[in-house]
Amino acid sequence: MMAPPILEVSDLTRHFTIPHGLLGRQEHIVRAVDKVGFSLEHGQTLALVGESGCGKTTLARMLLKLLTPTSGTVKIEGKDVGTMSKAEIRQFRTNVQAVFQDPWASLSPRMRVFDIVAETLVINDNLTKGELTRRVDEALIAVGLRPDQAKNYPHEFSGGQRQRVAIASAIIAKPKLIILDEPVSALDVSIRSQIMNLFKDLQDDVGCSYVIVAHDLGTTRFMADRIAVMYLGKLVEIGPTDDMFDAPCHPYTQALLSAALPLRVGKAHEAIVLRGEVPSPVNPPTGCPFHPRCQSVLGEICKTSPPAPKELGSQNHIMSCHIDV
Amino acid sequence: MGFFVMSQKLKFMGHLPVLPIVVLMIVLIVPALFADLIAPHDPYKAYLRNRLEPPLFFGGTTEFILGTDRLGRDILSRIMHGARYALVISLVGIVLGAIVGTALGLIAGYMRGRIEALIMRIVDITFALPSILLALALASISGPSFQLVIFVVIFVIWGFFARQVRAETLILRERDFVARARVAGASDFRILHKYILPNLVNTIVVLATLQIGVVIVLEATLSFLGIGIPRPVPAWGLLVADGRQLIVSSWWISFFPGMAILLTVLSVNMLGDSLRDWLDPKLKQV
Amino acid sequence: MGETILQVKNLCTVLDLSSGTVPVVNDVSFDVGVGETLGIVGESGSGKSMTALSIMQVLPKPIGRIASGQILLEGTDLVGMSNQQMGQIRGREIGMILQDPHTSLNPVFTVGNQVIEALEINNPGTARKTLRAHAIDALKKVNVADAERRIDAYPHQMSGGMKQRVVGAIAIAGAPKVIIADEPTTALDVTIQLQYLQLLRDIQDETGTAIIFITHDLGIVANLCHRLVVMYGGKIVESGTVADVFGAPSHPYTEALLKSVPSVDQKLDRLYAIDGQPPALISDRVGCSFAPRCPYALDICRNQVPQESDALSGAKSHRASCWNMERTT
Repeated sequence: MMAPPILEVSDLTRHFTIPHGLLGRQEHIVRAVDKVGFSLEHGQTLALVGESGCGKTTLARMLLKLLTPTSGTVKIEGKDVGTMSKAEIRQFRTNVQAVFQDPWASLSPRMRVFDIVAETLVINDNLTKGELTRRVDEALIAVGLRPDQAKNYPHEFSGGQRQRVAIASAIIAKPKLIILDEPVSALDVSIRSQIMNLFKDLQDDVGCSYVIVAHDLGTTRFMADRIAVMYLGKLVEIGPTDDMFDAPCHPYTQALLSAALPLRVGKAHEAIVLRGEVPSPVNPPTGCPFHPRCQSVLGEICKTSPPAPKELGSQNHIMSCHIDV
Repeated sequence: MGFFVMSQKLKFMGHLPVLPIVVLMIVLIVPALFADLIAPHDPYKAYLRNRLEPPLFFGGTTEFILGTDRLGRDILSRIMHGARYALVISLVGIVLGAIVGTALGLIAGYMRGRIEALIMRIVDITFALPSILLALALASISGPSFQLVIFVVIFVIWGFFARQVRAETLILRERDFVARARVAGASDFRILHKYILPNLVNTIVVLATLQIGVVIVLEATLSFLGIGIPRPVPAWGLLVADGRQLIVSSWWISFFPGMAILLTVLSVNMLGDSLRDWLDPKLKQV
Repeated sequence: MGETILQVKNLCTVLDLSSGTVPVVNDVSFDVGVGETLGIVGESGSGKSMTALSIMQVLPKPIGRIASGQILLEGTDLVGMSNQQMGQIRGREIGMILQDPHTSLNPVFTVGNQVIEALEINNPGTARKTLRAHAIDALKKVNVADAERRIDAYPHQMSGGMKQRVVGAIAIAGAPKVIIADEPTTALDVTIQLQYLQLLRDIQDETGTAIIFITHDLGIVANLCHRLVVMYGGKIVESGTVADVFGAPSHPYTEALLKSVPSVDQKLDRLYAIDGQPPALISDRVGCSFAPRCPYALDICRNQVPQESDALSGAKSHRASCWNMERTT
């Protein structure tokens, strides 16, 4: 029997209600994440790509059990996260970890690096001081830092080094799935490659899976095996990386990819410039959420009926669009 | 004036101005600790033959440098002994007020919802109630006492801490490092005491320092009205009250204790400001 | 390109910190011509933002000051001008667009108010009604949809992209000769960024305004700029046309930067990474500031600051400061 995928998301939805009107009586419903479904196999990386208001951050928080879904399920190795027992949740916490975007806000300024890195083990396991030190040293070395740096405070490190500390604290419990929320966006360009190589190396060594939220497409291409494109809370296209980059099918995916400016000089870059603003999730357009800006909009059908997901040729390449491909 | 400006440039530990620290030491701290040893006279001893003696340089003698009061008690010695009470009351009151205020502020800011609303309404009520009237009411029931003064101090002070701590907690709980702690499996209690509280220390310390002035004036006011520290303890407020009737003729009886209060409060406030400026940039790092 | 409109000569800007005086812009020279876009590329600590602040003379007071050098706007030196004189220049001859759209606009005034204010400075005495009409035109010009209504909106009612466009409208209100844009699209979504860059191109085509575009994003430079300078540790390490510099990167830092950008065109196994990190503000470095991270560093690099010389493409305008352009080991 095949092992269940490390991550399985079905019909995941999260609504926020915003009070509105004179006395806050009326409510606006913000469909931050709307019926999103996908799965991720062990040792693979899925990228969540999209712009502001697409819901990728909300989705990431639900995967980490920091936010409760309004409906739908998140399953880690086949077990529904929403119905876990206390013991299972402890296990979950060691299995699913995160690295966040801002290296300056990720680490508590009042804690030494040792305590920051050891935290997951301290909370969930019962190790002796000696064992704990050994594990912390191991984690620090794995991320390219030195064990003697464990006694320092975060403000003594640079941005890239702080991110390494955050990564060390994420990997120390040997998690099976790590959620990376824009892990390198706040770092200098010349540091990003170091950190990304580190992620790849860790994956090769340990076999962990990643869900990476990123807006930089080069990073995405480098890290991801599969890419999920989100727009206004909906999953508009998901498929293998190479397919998505070489032959994107959904108009939004095409526009998004064309917005990545290549380093080629000389040949004018054919970019699809979308009209208008990214609409607010408070007042999403009717029908297909992308239709007001879509460069290939078909007409009435896009305005009135939300497109259903359909499978395209190769493995697990799904898109929600009325266009026939 | 020049001396004042120059002393501002002199910084202790590179950040805190020296002059207020020196003044505080002279007026408050050294007397509070060593009054028994260094006060020239027994504060309770009445030199009946030296009543209403003016201070030195105003017709007085070196025997009673700041003059004597109606009963011939040495003003300087009384002020020195009174410093102890000012110091103790302010420290105890502020520490207890800070504990109560911080705890409730943390809970309000972290839990949000109805608990937060409830706590904040109580804070509002606390601020709305005139503390002096409350003290008067309580004093009329149980008579003036140390416990009463401390209780009133806590009552007045805790709200400042609660408000400030709640505001900062609201910000801190959204920080990524708190999210990471949750991802690591930390319980709410752990997050509060290991992640949020340590990052509040700066704020609490600065707030406490700035409140010392408030507390000292509060204690002096209560004592002045006769509902604070009970006689015959030479609390500064009482000393000021002592000279009320004779303010025109024997001005020194109220003047010097009043100066002691003024200098203490000024110095503490200046220190508090510098402390805040010093610690603030680090606060921003959070 | 057209004639030179802004010339920076040997600019040295320093910060007077309690620990000493620290140079943040170290002998920087470049010029921009009419209708040209110059890119200033660098990372944190490179001095690129400080250079922009120096030109506008809005350095953080009291610690920042221009120690030496000239900034010639059509021949007139801006260095040493009084605040009042600079006030005439800022917002009129030089416009500025900053990174964070959310703090660039005053939240308590309507968007229209702020554009009108900018217009008024340049057309003093004009009737309010006329100014309002001009403001609507200005908003339309920067592609703010529904400008007649939007003019009365407050900044918080607008998205980041739209705010940045309003900032652009304010910047061009004075018909400036030069626009300094400091990472204006970093906080914007990538599709919005595309719109914005096109807007800048359109403005430049129409008015011939020179643009100094400060960024760390080499993709933008490749697609928007005509020429660029690369800054590292407060100095310019390479300069030239975008074609020359990208085609034949001569300084090891430029080369490394280009190599380390992850490719969108193909899936790589590993990224090229530069060891170490960009220098902190305070460094009493002898020799080339990039030497500690440079794979080609020679002894001379560690001891002597490199002189500027002709770069590898052979073009006269392509220059770099490196002792080891031939990459000998």
